[in-house]
Amino acid sequence: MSDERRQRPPAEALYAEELAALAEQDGDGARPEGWRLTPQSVMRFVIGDPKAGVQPKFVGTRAFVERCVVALATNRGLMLIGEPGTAKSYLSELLAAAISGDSTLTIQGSAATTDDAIKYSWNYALLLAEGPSARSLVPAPLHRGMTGGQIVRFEEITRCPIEVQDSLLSVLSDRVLIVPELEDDGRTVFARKGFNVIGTANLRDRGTNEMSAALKRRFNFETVMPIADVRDEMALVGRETDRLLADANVPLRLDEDLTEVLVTTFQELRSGQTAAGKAVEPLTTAMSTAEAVSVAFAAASQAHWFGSDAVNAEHVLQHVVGTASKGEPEDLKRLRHYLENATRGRRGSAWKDLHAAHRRLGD
Amino acid sequence: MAHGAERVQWFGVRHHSPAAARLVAALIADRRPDAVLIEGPYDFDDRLDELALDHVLPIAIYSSVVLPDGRRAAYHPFCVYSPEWQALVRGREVGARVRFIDLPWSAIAGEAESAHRYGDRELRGAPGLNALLERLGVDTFDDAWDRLVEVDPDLDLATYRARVEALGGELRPDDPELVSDEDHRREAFMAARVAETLREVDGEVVVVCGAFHTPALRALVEAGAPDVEAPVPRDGQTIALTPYDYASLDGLSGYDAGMPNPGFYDEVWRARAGVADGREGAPADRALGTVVADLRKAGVTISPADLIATRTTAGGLAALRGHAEVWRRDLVDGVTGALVKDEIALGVSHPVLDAVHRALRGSARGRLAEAAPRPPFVVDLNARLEAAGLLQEARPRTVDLPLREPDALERSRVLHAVRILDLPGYRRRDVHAAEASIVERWEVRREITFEGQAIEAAAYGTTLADAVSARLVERAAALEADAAAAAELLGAAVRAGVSEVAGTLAVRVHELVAADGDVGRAGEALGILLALYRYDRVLGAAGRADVGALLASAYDRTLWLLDPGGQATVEEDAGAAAVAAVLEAWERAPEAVGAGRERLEEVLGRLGDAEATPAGVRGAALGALWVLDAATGDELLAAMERTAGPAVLGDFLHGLFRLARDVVDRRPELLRALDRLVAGYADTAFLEAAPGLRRAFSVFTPREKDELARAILGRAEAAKPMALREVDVEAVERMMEIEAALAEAVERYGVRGAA
Repeated sequence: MSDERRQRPPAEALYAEELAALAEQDGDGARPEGWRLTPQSVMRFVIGDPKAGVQPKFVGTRAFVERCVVALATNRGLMLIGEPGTAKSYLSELLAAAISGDSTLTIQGSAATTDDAIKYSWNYALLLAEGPSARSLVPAPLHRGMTGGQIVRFEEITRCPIEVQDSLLSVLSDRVLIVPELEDDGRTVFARKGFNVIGTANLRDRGTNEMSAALKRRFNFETVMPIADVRDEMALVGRETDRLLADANVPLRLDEDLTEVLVTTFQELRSGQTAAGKAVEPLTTAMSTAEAVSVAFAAASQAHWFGSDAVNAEHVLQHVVGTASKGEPEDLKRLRHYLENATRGRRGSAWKDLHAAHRRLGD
Repeated sequence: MAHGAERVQWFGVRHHSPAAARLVAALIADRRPDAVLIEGPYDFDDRLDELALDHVLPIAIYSSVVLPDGRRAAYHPFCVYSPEWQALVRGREVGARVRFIDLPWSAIAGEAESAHRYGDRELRGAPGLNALLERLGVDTFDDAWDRLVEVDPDLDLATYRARVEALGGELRPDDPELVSDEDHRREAFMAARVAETLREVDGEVVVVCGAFHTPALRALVEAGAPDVEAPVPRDGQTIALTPYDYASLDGLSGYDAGMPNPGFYDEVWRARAGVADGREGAPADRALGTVVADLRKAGVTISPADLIATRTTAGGLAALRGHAEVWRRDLVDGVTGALVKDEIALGVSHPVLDAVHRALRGSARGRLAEAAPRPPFVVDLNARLEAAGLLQEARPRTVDLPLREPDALERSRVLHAVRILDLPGYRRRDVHAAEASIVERWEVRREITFEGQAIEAAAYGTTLADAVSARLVERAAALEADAAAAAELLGAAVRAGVSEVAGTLAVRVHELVAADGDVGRAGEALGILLALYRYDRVLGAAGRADVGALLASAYDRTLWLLDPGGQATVEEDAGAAAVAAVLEAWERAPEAVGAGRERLEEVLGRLGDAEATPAGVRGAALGALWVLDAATGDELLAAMERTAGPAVLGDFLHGLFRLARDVVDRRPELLRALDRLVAGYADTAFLEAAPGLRRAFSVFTPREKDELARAILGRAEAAKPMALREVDVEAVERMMEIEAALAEAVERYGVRGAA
């Protein structure tokens, strides 16, 4: 199946040209063993370098991304923590794509995740026929990452039971995986240079408290912050929404004013403070950048498929309400109060439209 | 090119840059110029000798000036690695003429944005900064400067100059309109001083000034800078040396942006200037040692593995960023990555990061040389404190002052004066009456910031009394419609014994009392004035008629505001307090308040009857009338029954008992009526009324409450212990759970018990 037909190609496919160009520029430049790119190029790939034709991707301070890149070059893993929707997974995907050229060695953490899905399992037909052997072993992402010297991503690691999480301990400290069923050489899998783990954990659901101190010690922790600057977030929301809309063959776009209204609304409801410094009650649901993108995308899709020729404030508002209803029931009240009071009398037609749309929607 | 301009050695700096300090020292030693001109306040130019005394750095030049809208003060701080400081020291060593050439603070205070004169405000706020940061691949100006100048230990003068000139050229807007007026004026002044010096000396002239200004300054001098006269000193302009410290220097702790992490740069300076302090290793290693020691002392476990991870991460970051050695940002980031194991929230401090910033801040604290001249105020202050035996000593002590004794009164006045000026180290612990006198107990302890703050207070006057007067007048002028605060200032003046200013303050109190529309504050002012009036014999100063007149006007005003029908809204507690103040003034100082008893009774009567009066104020008004014998017990009873709602009963009683606590003794039927009333409440109504009732009875002492209980329950009943109610175990468990959750929430949000 070609890339064009995939719903969502991985970063290494989507940005294959950029990666190839960066690799070429790097030439024989010094880099940690097993890395496809130099750390400098990894930085450029993640943050973007418009002059060199590298798209901006992740928005955050440079020092933060530098810390992440360096953590992966040390003998500790990288643990990205933060509120939902702050692009933790996206950042881990970008890092894996840039460093290993493959972001698909991914373990999805959940209550049902078992050792099999992390390390390895067996092809039972072969196991019965031949006994345990390299042939009958089915490697899971960790095994593959270790043998291939690649970055392994462990998403939502804190959703796994703590015993399962701790199976990473020996892998991270000794960089070795024991396969007791196999004999001799096959017994121990030593990690090749280039192997490391990026974990992500969500602060909302279970937090990082449910992680053993022993495991914590083997990671460098980095908090991914929501984007602080409205301009940056607007640019990102605009870019991502446009990409999604183009992908879905929707010819509509959110105009800049409406994007600003959307992003400002999200920022204010996230931080509990208006741009003018007035306090508003923040929503408990995560008002993330990712959520803003999906609201914008949904609003434009709705406008297109249901016969409007432009996206208006009402479309946007309907989906903002949808976002708010994911949280506590109180969130809807808070949103109503915000629209009622905080957005009244703001300048610009987009704000007026939003306020009017809110009045029309009523309760 | 103007005559002599080629003799200038331009040296642009970022203030507090160790690299600039090292290179400017070398430049001066090498060129042995005839003159060294430094960006520093011109009005200190004739006192540069004071800087050469045996000070412990950091110190600062403190300038202050009084403008129409208030006082403005500014600092020029110097530490050992300030290029300005090194230029001063080396310039002297080679026998050059050393001068300060920047405008005095008094000439720019009106428009200046920053009171930290070496804060590099111009560079940090430059419009071109973002583009530069992006190109260099760094996040902040400090990182950019570090990368260009500080990190490389072997940076030579030519490279330094090339980079700093490029930086200044890039960050300075091409359009002169975008440069502030303040900067234009300063540059014209500095250029004129350079031109002047070039006319006076034949040899080379080194000019040390901010990198932002150098390009403009050079252009001005080369074009032949026109002369600019030194500005005329303003009234109330002062300038003096004062001790400084790294905590104030740190851009991360201060309100006014400056250089971050002074302690780190101090280490850099020591390490690179070869200061023998018995410490080894690169600056970052020394700093990390301090951080770890600090954290371990605070009980944070840091294993050798953690340390290795921190150093590896910091080293990796330095390599990625192209730093020749681990720098402060690498260290902070290394610790952030490797040691911080939980969420970092914007704007919230984290103990580990706090420790890092403390270590990088450094703890250096300056001290002025013994021989350094102090401002006249400081001399006077010290003389007064010494004469009163109140100088700060290493061991904290308490001082008891019976104010009836003239000697003790004088000492108390000095202490109150010091307190008005907010000087640290003196605290009044309590005041009590003893043996026909009032005794104040003070605590005196050594405070390290005392001298610096005393020097800064010197801007207010040349003697202690002058400074106190000026400070009080300044505070009084800043008050708006707050009669109580004005009365408090008058009280402070009387206690400090500065009688000259009392008249001015009295006028201000008078104005504010007349203008204040708030009953609570007017009542408060009345209370303060009454205390002044009554205790004048002890304090000596205020027994004059003017306090009596003020008291009368405050009394009138409060009564007027209490009278229903006016615009003022009477609030619950403040109103009751005002009623109490009025009554007390009438009882204790009848000769001063003068107004007739009828008027007081009328106002209180109307207040007690008016529908709009809050319950507590109504209770207070009735209580006052009772005290005045103008209300009968039956009237009180009737009023209580009118205010029998569970929401207001407690408030009413609180007001009543506050003014007339003896009423329960003298009219027991009131208590019995109350008992019947409360017994008649439904459960929900009782729950609603309970908190208010509890508060109302808190007016009484435990003994009085016991008496009340006996009166209600009968003596025999009250003697029995109260029977415990049957309580269901599960209910208790639930209650305990709720309490525990509450305590946890309180703890979590740091409302109480947070370390």
